[in-house]
Amino acid sequence: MNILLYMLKRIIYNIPVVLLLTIFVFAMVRFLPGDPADILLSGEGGAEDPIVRATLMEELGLDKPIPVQYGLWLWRAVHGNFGKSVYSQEEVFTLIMDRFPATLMLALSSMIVSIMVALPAGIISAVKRQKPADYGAMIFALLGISIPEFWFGIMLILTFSLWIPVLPSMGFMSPFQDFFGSLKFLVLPAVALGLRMAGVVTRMTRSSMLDELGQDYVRTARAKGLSERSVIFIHTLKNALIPTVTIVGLQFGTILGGSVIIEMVFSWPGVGQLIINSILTRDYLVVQAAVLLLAVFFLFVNLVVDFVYTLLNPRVELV
Amino acid sequence: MSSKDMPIIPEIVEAPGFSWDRLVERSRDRFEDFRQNRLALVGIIIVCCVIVVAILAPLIQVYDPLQQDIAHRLQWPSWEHFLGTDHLGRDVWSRIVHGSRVALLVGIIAVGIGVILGTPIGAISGYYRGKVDEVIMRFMDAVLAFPPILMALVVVTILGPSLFNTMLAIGVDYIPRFARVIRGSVLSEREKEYVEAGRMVGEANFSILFRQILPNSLSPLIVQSTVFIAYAMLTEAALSFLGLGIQPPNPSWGSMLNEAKLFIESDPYLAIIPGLAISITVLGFNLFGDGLRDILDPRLAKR
Repeated sequence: MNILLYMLKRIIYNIPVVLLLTIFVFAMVRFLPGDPADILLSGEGGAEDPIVRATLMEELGLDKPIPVQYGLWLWRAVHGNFGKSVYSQEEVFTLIMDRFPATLMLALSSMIVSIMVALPAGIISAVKRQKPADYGAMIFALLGISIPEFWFGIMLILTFSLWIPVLPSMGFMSPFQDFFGSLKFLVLPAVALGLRMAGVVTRMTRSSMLDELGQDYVRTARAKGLSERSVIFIHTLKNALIPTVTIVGLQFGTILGGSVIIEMVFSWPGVGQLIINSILTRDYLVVQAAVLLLAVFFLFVNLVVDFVYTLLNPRVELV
Repeated sequence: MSSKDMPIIPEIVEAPGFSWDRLVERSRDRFEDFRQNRLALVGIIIVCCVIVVAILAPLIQVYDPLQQDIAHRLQWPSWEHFLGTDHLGRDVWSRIVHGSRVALLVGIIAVGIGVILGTPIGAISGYYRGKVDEVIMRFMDAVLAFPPILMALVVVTILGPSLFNTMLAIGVDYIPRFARVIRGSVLSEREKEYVEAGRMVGEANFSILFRQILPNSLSPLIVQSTVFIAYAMLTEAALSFLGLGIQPPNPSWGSMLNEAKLFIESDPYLAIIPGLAISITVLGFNLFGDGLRDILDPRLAKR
């Protein structure tokens, strides 16, 4: 019951945050120097046609005071109407939602790859500290957080698409079309995107495992004669994973951000590629909507992580 | 022996508040540990090298980084061109050396913006708490809801791509992050006795906050700064790689990578070298930051 109340509080806390987000994103386009109508029409494909201009002005209420404009925009946004892309004349919302599954697929698979590498690395590193395995894992983690993902992606392309041509360097295939075929396109971008997170999670896991292994209850368990494996896997891992869960949630934001660049490197048809192309073609309505939706999605993921965290950690205070 | 026979040893109680002498003494103790920490040493060496290269850039670069020489384009590293030439015949070594200036500048200024604007916000929020804290934290959370690169992209979209706007774009994202760090520090410091002592003596809140609490909050701030300088360099490289940061023909490691994309099959060195420059520099700052954390806050030290 306490947990539900806590979650309710968290959701209520985030409502003003979301509102602030919308204000910020709305202001983003209004802050652009120049006449808003000119700006919104200035992207490629925009017409100088006075009729189109007049329609746009009426649609967005550009002749009304700014708070009214914001209200109109917000009302439409809540109903999924973000206007039309100047570049392609498609509904912005449809444009984004068409590409969202691709981005999600990339983000999730890179997180899975990351965790599959980082968790064992962090655990082994903590258990065998100061031995070669520990140093190896620490160096791996350091490299992970220092190497730019997009450069790593380019190096992967160099190695696995050009020098040893086994994987494609760009493109996308839906897993519903051909599951194993789609994996071929997914491997390189997912590994490139997951590198940083792997580094962060390795360090976090190592650090929290070391914390747990130093606790009194571990010494007690060992004294009781429990086998080493039982001590590590059952007792400490569960506790050590708690801060790791939080880190994974926070890293999701980095993954979302990183996916923007990785999508450009690998021509992955996701939301990130849409954002960059729209910035370059000055298709601001698309940028506005895409940024807002990604940010709200990230907030939502954080809420879920929060929830999972409170479920896992019996010691947290639900005040 | 009964307790009556024990010599009375006066308890040495540390004077409350902040003391420069004590800070220096503690730092000196920890410096010994730092020297033992080989990785941190490597970090400091790398950072110093990069700083030296950046400062001495006009002297070290052999050619003008902007000077084109189409006749000698796409040459592999040789005695004449230490790291080769790019697709316009520009000397890669000179461009790399010049790029270090951009990287450092962006890193330092972006973090500077974050520290200068984020510290007072976080301090006020943490010290006064209550409604003020709630409102400020909502704003901070709204900015933090943007994945970091997205925030920088938004600012660059509004203001247009340039060196200054890149620094601003990255810096804006750092304001709430530093605010959070300071707020956390202030929240724990304000419970300590020297704060209460100051209040009882009638010291103004403002004075307690800025003359007592903040100097004690320096350690996490310094550690975070080094880490964020590293991260700012990566973000700038990413922005420039996308064509939204430093604009050509000005050299930046990220934009060099962007230009190298087209020639990756025939002249891979063009893509390998700038990436190595970024990676080594960022690695140096990360190692340095780790070492600093070990000195300044041994509670968080890696074991």
